[in-house]
Amino acid sequence: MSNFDVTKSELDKVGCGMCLAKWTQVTMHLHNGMTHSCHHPVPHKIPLSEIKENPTALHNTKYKKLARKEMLENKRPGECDYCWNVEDNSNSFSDRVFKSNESWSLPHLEEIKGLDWRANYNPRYVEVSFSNTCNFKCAYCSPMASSKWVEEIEKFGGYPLSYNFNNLEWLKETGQLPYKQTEYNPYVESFWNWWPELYRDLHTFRITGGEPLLAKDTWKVLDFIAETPEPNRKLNLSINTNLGVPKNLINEFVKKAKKIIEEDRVNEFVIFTSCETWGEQAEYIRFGLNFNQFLENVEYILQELPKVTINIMSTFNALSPFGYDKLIDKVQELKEKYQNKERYWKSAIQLDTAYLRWPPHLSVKILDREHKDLILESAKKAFYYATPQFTNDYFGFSDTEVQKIKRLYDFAISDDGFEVEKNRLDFVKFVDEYDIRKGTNFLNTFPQLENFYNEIRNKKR
Amino acid sequence: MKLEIKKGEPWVMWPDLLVGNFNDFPANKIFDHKGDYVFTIEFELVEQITDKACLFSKLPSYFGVDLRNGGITLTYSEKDKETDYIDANYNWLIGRKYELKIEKKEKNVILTIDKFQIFNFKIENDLKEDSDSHIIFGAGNFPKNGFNLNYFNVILYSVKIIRDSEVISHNDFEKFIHGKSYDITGNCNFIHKII
Repeated sequence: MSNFDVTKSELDKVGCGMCLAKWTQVTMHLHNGMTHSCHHPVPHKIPLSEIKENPTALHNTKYKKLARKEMLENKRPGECDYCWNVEDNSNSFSDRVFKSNESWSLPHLEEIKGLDWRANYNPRYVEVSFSNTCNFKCAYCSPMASSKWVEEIEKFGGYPLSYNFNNLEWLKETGQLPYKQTEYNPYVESFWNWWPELYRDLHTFRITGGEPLLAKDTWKVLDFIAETPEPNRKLNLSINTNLGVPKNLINEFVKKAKKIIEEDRVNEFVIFTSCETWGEQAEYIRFGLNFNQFLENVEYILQELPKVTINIMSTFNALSPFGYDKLIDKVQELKEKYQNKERYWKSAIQLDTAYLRWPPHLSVKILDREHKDLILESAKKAFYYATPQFTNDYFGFSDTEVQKIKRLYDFAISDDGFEVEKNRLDFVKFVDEYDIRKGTNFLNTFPQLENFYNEIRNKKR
Repeated sequence: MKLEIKKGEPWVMWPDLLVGNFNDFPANKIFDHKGDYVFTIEFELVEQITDKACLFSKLPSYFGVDLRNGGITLTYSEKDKETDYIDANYNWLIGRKYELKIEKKEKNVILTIDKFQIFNFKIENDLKEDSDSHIIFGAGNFPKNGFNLNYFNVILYSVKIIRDSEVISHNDFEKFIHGKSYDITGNCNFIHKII
């Protein structure tokens, strides 16, 4: 029996829908008061009335407690249907097994199954977004995660595609419009009321955004960890950053990280950043990015923080294929240059490739086959860069890094009912509007897509 | 271009378990193939052969070619039989490029050097197959195993593998990426040094 079999069996003894992540994991979008445990259920609103009495309601909402009740009573909460679909239609383990098997979950099984469903529980794996303040407005992002997007949409409205892309109306209607950082935010206030107690039990804490280095609360967290007389030395700390903030902030961040690391105040410290391709094409996708400055900052951190790993999260999209091989070359160069045996993770830098599903007009699925084949070539390049067998070298692309790029190609060429023509039309409308609003020039930046673009435009007429 | 294999520093075609993601039939399994195939290796000797020198060996079920002073040996393993070998005389010259070709057609195995037939014999059963086959160049075993090594200095110019009638791998040693020879078929059947 595998570990997963054992874990599933233990969970099933409690109930057919039991999943520890409902207690042990949380993502808190404090900038708009939403929460969910595990990324599959749609985030739900945290009632202000609940956090007034109980700051842990940022995680322990009455809504979530009712789902826990179902789990403890041998029922399957409806919001977790992603896992039920997997379990009912395949022999694979669902994510409830994987997440419950994690080191931040499984050790707490006995404790959790003995709890009353009404009990508050301190999560071990916490992701938090304090603010949507961001100096970028990436093509695939939204007002929910970028204040720059909010500004643009307030000024020009949503993008007139086959639907009103990135409009603010539905955010307002669903109560998801983010607080401005300058406004009083009761969710952030509750977080700080809870934090001293929460911190003590944390296994993993990850700050996302917006751009976390532009959120004052990120700095407050770093200062707390750097100064507290009783540090939680088991903590795995992660911070997302676009590495495109002013240099003085990068310097300050490195200074604080250095103190935390050198005083062994955490178990590990990992930095997550983003990049989807190379040079000016990357700058087009991530509007606000200075690509060369980004690379300088990556190298600066790898040099100054010799224990830290940088993970580049790459949301691979229709504009990524043409320079991705150069990004792979650079990552390999940095892996080699900055490898050492002190890093928390094996590699100095990782390229974590994921495919973009939303917005669909930027999906790789809209591309022609010749462009999709470039993804396969990138995957092969990463494969050549993989850590070779039977050698003493330990730098190189990991199996996971390689497989994720190959998986992306498989996704790109798969036929799953994706509406190609509709999304191609939306793509052209999108880049036309994007260029007008942002002063960019799509055809100059992506000459490889000139024919593709023109053919769609001609059809549109 | 060329691949200079130094004595005691063999190379291996055993790309990685991931190669299965990139092609349906990894070339390191060619000697497991029940159909027809052609394995061609172009090489040059840089010194006089005194002891047995292993040009290449497929493991773990053995299939390989050893060069001797004045001769050549092909060792092979059939299913349900002991490992066997076949010998022939051959006068090797230093600094000369050779093309050694092993062709399997149904149950016939033919070995030629520069189109001159050296061996032609019939196997009764299929050759032994393995789940984790690999082909070592310049040694008869992994160095860590310490036996049947038969190292020597040799230069490889090309390793080309045809399965049925399709070229599934061709390393011409023009290009290397991260210490791996580039397979110009695009199938990622690279060859790399064992350290």
